[in-house]
Amino acid sequence: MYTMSTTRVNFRLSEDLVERADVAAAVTGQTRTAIVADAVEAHLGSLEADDAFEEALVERYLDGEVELEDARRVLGRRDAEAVRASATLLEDAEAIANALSEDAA
Amino acid sequence: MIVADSSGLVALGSVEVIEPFVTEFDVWTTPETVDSIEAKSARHGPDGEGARAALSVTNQIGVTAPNAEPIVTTRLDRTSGSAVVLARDRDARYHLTDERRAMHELRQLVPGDVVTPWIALEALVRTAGLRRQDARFRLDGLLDRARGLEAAVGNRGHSLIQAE
Repeated sequence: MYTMSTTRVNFRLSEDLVERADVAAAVTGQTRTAIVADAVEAHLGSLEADDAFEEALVERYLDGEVELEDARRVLGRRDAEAVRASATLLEDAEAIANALSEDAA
Repeated sequence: MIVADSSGLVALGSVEVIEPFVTEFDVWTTPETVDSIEAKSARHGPDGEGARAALSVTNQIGVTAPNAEPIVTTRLDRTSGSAVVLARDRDARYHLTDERRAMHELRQLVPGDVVTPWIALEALVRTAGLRRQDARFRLDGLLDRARGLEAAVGNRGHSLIQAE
């Protein structure tokens, strides 16, 4: 059976959020970690499905602020490859436009 | 020689630059592409308008069937794949497309340079087939409908078109 690896992280939550997570854990029989992980997963899923988020992520990749591997995690392999190919095309765009204009009828 | 797929022709049609494009350049496509554009021409909205504009200039485009079955991938359907095969058959120097999510596959599969609509706009400016101000306006029209990845990449077209 495949088990996703985990890593320990430390972050601060408001007391209210912790108490609500604990209530949810008690009611569902899940651990507090599972409740928080599910919430983060759902929020990330929602963000990643948002066009504005995708646009901002790709903008950051094209600006060199996000690594390809990170973009791939969010966009998926094929879209990340499309973005990388587009970035290369952008570098060549002026030369292509120039060559194309010289080939005009 | 430019081989154009349906997305590229419809995109240029949607911003009313298909006429100068096919006048300035030696544009070729496949019967599958024309069939696809005909099907799109029944739609409402920019895609339908773009398809109708593209259809109106098919008499100025070379239409020929490729010598092999279309290359189909998860990002390329039979129509786009037929244009890829034609580009390979003819060793076309350019490949017009607006399939931004298939850019990786296209750059690997076609023999020449991939030309996006915004590169085509800039080339038209350079041939004097279009004024720069018009090209900016047309690019804005293309980007109005782009979302997500496609918008981010398309936005970079601004830097090309803005250059004097």
